[in-house]
Amino acid sequence: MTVVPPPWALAAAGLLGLLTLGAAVLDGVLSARAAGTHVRTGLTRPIGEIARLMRQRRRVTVAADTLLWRIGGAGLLVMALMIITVVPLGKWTLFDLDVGVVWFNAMDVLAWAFVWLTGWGANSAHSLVGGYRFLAHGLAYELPLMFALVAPAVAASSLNVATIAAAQQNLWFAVWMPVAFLVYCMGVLAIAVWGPFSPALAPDTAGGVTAELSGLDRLLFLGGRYALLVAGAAFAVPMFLGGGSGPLLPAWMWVLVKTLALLTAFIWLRRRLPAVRPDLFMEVGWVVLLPAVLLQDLLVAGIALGRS
Amino acid sequence: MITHVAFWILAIGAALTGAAVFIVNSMARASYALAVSFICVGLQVLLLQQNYVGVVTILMMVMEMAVMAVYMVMFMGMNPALMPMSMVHDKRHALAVSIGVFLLLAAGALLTPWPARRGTPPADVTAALGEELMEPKMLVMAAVGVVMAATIVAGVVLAAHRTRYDRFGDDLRRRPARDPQPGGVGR
Amino acid sequence: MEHRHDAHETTHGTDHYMTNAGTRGGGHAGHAGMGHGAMNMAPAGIPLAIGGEDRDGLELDALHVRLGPVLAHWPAGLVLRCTLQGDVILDADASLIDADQPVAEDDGRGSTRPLFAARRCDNAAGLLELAGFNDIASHARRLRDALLNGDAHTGPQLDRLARMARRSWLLRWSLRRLGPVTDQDVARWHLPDTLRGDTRDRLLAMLDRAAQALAGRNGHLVAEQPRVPIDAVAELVRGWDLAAARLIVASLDLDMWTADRAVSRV
Repeated sequence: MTVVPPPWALAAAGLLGLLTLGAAVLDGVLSARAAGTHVRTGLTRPIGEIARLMRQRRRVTVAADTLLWRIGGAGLLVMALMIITVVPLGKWTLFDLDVGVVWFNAMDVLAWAFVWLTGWGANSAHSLVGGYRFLAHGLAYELPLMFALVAPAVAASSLNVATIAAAQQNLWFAVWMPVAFLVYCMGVLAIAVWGPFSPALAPDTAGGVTAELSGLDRLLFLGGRYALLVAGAAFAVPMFLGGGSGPLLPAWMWVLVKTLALLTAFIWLRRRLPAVRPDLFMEVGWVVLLPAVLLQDLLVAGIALGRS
Repeated sequence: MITHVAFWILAIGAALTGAAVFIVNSMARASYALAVSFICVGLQVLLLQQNYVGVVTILMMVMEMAVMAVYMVMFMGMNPALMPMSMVHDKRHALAVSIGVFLLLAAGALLTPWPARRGTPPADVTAALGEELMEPKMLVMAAVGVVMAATIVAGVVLAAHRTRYDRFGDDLRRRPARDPQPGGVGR
Repeated sequence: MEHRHDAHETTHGTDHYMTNAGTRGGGHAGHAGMGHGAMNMAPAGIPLAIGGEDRDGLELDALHVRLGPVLAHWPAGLVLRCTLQGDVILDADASLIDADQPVAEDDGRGSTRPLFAARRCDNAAGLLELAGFNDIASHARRLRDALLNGDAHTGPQLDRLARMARRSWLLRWSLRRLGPVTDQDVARWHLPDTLRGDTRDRLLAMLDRAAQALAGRNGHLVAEQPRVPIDAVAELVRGWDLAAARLIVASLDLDMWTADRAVSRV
């Protein structure tokens, strides 16, 4: 594993930005197709939206906690940037941390703070309800997500992301720990407040945490969601999808291909799955997902023990 | 050099945001000022090469403050959680006590004759720290963790406002259960 | 915890809690700067909220939030003044804007069969959108537009939409047991029979009515439209959380207040 010098972080951020824009465009195209409008509308829509939001004047609400509101709005993008620092692109990495898995976990927990702060800051009832809906989701998805991250770490006997990727030379972890993989994907959707996990900003609470967001804050928040989907998909590659391993193409290319494939699946899922409201998901998380993923961990630990 | 600069920035940041907890006038700001203070401390632990402990500190503290945001609204009774308010109780005595304790601890840290390093640090400092702290009691500690989690769950179950008799009726036969709002598993 | 004693200038009027902005206010209006009160009763002009018993025994602040008259996927003109504790609707009070104005359907266009079906589709699309079923909602919306444009062959499309809604177990999982209306409720609040069941039942019934109207099976259309007494809307949402209440209101298939043509939203 080669640790590249810090200036390359800019290139990584640029790549993240490109993929984020790609994700937004893909979502626009899928939405346009479903609505029966011209595909070109979907292609240009994200660009137009960026331009519009950058020019828009910020909305002001009574007794808003502006500082916390701004921090929350910009936070998701920061989380995504921090996550990709530990994702190896082929043989290069920015930050070869020995506890990369815990790093990812610490960063994804920041969503609890940022999404809630965005909901809190506006001092609007719908925003605050949205913020608490996210925390309610968090109480249900976070533990299963943590235990899902445990499985590959146990199988590879390491918390280092590159070591985990290297441990999948023969068989991808996604194949023999499918429950952990699915729960991980669910967790990524949840931290990105995406698709089934979007009740925090859904129309049934008039936009929830985004109800009063406007201008640059809204752009950063919505862009941050796409960036988190990208970062989550990218992190899944070394964790579950064999890292850069694959025929013909160079390793870094395989990482990108796998990231794009998973990202496309995430974007596509949004239109397919309903919102899982927190009142429904709380039971699912604790009664179904947590025991399932714990059993998965037990199984993985047993196999890992048998091997050594 | 960079380590020194980072140490001082984080140390001052931790102290200032820690002080901010008592200066700001909203529960949200106080909670998250505390979270930032803990993040600074977690990053300082990274400087000690205790990567695992440092990152876990950040993880736990951010989550804890988010959960605190839930509880402060649920259980703070009337308005205090959502109103501008002072974050200190008995201001004068509290200030005296906390400054006193800070000076005592700082003096202890500065004046203790710390031993010089003998030998080299082990390869895995986190494992070494764990073993140093609880070598013969590792198994007990691991078991205590599980027992504590079980205790918390049991405590919540016992403290819950509604019991299964409220849900399923006195003979526990009512289906579906009478809930204010249906859950996702359909119990 | 002590509250600050600073006398606060109330530069803003008390009208804020009429909007959604008053998260930290509502209810009891204390006078700011009264001097001997222990608390600053109205920060930024928002009066202090008062706590009370609630469903979960949490004694949260009661907060007054108005839903409507203009809200996405909401029957235009309906206003629900809700008292919230957390996001649970403790109490609600329904009213109509411009209730004394002549209703749009009397102009003769409201009784045509495609328009009747289009309105059902529009309401179904709103409900599906609120529940997060974006794809089926898009279907319903396109069908509505086709009906309004007077396209042919909308019948099979409508059947397909109804089949999709009926077969989706996710839809069933999401909407079942939500806002149940029993026979007693129907009798007590003089509700139309079509509202019996839970939210999912009502969605399917909505699509059925559209199909029947297109097929020409129901005789007098206006009689078929569910007339929901306005107070019953408030009764039905009481005790549910904000989002569930939105779904319940959407499932009531209210249309006497909707405009003739809605703007298409992607």
